[in-house]
Amino acid sequence: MISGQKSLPTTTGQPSPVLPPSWLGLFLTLGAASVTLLAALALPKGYALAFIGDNLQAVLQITAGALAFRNALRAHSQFRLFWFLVLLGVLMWLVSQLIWCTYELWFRIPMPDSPVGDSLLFLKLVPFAAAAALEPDKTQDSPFRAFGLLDLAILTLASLYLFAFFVYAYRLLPGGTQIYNYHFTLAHTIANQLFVLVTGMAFFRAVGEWRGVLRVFFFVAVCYAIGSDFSNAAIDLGQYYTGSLYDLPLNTSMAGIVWLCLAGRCFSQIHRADAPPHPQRKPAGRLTFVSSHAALFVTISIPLIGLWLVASHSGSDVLFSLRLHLTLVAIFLLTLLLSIKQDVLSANLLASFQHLCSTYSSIDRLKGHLLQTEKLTALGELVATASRQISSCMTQIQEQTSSIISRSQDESRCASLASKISQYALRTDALAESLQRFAQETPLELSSIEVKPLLESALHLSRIAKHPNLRVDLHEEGLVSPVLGDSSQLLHVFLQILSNAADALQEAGGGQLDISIRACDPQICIQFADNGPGIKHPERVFEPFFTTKPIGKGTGLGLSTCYGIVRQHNGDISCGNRLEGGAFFTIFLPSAPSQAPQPHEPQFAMEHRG
Amino acid sequence: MTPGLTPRHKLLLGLACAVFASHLLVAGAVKPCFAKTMFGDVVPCVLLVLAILAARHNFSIQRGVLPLFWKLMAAGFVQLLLSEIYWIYYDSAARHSTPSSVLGDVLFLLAHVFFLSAFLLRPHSASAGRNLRLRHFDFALLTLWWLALYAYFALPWQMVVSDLSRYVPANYTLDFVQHLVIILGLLVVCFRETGRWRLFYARYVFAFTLIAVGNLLLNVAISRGIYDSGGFYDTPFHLSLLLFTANALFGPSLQPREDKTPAREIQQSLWTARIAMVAILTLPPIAFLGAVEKGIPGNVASFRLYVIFGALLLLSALVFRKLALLTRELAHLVRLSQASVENLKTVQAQAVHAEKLSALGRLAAGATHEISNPLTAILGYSEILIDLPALSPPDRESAQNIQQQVRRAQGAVDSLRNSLRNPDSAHPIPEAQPVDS
Repeated sequence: MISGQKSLPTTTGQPSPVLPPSWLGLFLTLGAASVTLLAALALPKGYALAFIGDNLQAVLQITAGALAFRNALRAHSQFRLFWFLVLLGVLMWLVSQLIWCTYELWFRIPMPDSPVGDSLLFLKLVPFAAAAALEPDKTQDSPFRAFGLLDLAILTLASLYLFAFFVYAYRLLPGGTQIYNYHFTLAHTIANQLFVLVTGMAFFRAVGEWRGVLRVFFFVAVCYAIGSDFSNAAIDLGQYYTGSLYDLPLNTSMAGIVWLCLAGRCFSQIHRADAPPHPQRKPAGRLTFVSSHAALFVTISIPLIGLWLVASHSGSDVLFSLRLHLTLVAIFLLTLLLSIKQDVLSANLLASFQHLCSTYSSIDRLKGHLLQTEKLTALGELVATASRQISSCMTQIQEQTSSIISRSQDESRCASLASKISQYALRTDALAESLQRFAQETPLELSSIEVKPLLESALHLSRIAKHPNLRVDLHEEGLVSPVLGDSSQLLHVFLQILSNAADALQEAGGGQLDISIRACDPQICIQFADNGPGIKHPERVFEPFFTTKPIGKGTGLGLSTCYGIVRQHNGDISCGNRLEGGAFFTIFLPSAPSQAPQPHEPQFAMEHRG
Repeated sequence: MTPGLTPRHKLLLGLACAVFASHLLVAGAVKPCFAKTMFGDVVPCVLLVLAILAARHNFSIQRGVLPLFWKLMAAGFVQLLLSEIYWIYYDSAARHSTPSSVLGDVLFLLAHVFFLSAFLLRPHSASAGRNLRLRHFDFALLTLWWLALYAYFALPWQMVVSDLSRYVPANYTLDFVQHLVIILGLLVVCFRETGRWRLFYARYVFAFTLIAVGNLLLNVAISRGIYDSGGFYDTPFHLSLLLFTANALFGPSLQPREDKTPAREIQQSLWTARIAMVAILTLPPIAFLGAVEKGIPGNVASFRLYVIFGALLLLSALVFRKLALLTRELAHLVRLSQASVENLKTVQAQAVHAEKLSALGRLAAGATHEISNPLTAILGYSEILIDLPALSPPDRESAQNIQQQVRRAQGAVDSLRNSLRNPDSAHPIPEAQPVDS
């Protein structure tokens, strides 16, 4: 009949338990039901039966509470909330049960009508229903989650109010116990139907593994509704006693909560904070909206109740004034909660509006910038084609020269000429090849790279040393291991920094640029220091669109691109002004792991011959 | 003080001044009689019609919230006009019976709600008027709340029990509080603003102070039994109406400005919403106090409870609607901003790519120069090689081949250099898609 277990997942990567927890839960439920049945049939009404019945219930509830608590501790976010709500419900139930047990087993008298016990018994349905309506398996944007909690608070408050208004108020009437009991039973029955409705809705709306868990929950709700309706009727008829057959559905529902906790256990383990989101998580569905609308309808209906109260004011004044005050307090509190909700909503709305505006303006600026650079787009292809062509020419020239050299004597004029040609061809080839690599758009290709040759080729390409009044000094301090990086991307970074430095120094009419490479384990530090005018806003240099160059010259994206590239390498880039004048840029890059095979020829290394 | 008044404006102003002068004349010269009362009732009506006509002129100004501001002001004038017309009926009917003054009082109260709403729009700010749709709700909430207060404190003494000794003070207190709120609010704005706007608000401060003082004077006179309708007791009120007309006529010369603090408008709308909610929150405590209060007839108490619960029902229905709208708006905005962040990412990626290409352009320009040097050298050496007399035929062939390749490479360099010089032939990249709003 009940088969919520077959769709339940087993946690991967763990040895599967001897008995799946959901099966255990099913057996436990059946066991509890049969114990109740046997005891009710075998034992007469008396202390022994009450002892068995009460203790069985208490044990079941303590177990359920402990399991729910464990699940709550292991789960995260929405699932944690779910288990805490279940725990809250179980605890409220347990407290009313313990009060009952104390009177029946300890004082050996029937339990007197106690407001605490009754209220707890009734109000425990609120957290249970809230848990069912929570839809923890659906994704939700965080602002909406907060609203869910507020709605929950509103609904809880409203149900408290309704209980006080329609049920508890009668206790204050002299001789109102009969009316109170009648209304309590009525309210309880209505609440039970609502509980069944909410769990049923949640169950039918759920998909996947969570549906199996909610099926157990639905089963619990149905059992509880049947049990509580029957036992309330029996109490009114005076036929109820603890351990009787009326307890069968009640005990089954208690055991069902244990089953629920066991069946839902895997949901507390799969979802760690670092785990990827559950594949079956879906955007929050109608239930959240239903609960938010329900909360609002409740808020509207309370003034209506107030109007009805004033219109039908005929009975006792005590009852009337109590209800009036209750209504006013409830309206005040509910409106307060609604105001908080509205405030949070508006604040969120404005924040996301501003966020949207800033995003739009960023997009606009970027687009404006793209218009300037769009004509350069076809350039990549152009450069690549040209450099491929040059490369192929150089390869052929080298073939020819090597054949000339092989045919001629060693020291002949012909051979020396050919070797000179070969050297130049090699150099041109290297240049063309670096151009080509730079032009090709490739994903980050990490390999270990010697920094110094890369810097040398950057210097060469940027032609910074060709300026008459710029002096460049490149030195390596000690033995520097290669770095792990993408040579073409790093070359871009170096070129950008060099071109910035060259611009700055030329503005100042010349100067000195010192480039030093040193190891600072486990990173490599490359520092570019010049004695130019320095940087005006060192903290803003890496922001996109920040440029100090005249309009039309610098785009302001260069250094931010550098920042992006270096961060992509897990490195760091910073800049500042030197005390003795001038600016410095420092790049930290992770050094290549030493056990890695020593790198192939650095891609941009060029031999400077002739 | 009268820059660029059109003839039409001058005519309106002249008419208003003339009507006011005639009031002064009649008040000073004529003895109290029915005709004087009637004339005293008609004067504000005429002044109000002139004020409405003057405000009507400003509806077409397309600057910020100014059209809405003037519409609200005009609506307030219309309410005042209706209330004055009611007083004409009241005064003429009072000869035969004692009509209730409720309608006139309610209209007078409502007119001020409209004025207050108009000022809450902050017409001096250029950024005013954003998310107005939701602020309508707040205005409605506050109006309803204010009417509920009137219905709670004043109305029972006319509707349920006819007790003017309780009705008049309650009504007057509400009027007084309303005037005080408007005057204080206007004073704050007046001190914050400069130039024409300061003058504009200062005139309103003066006008509302006149109304408040006139109201006080009128009530004192009525309670002492020396009130003379159409006499000098009405002068402050009529003068304030004249000021309203004048202010409306200077309306076209006003320019909204940017706020000094950028998030002012947003803060304002948040606070309006908060004040509206606090207003609702005051109703249950008021009912609580009313339940404790002694000496209230039972039917008045239950009337008041009806008022409170009815008002709460309407107010919470409004809040319900507002929250539903807010939720929907928020969900929409969250979706939109997610989409736009995605969009931004793509555009950023494109921009970085474009930036890289522009760097490439600079690099390539340098590199072509760098490449052409060794190419020239190779060409030179290969010419010397060909010119060597001792060159074997296969070597000569190789040398010629080398020359050929160098020329090809030079051609490639030249064409690259040319296209770098005029990159217009390049194709544009696809544009980023705009987000639909």
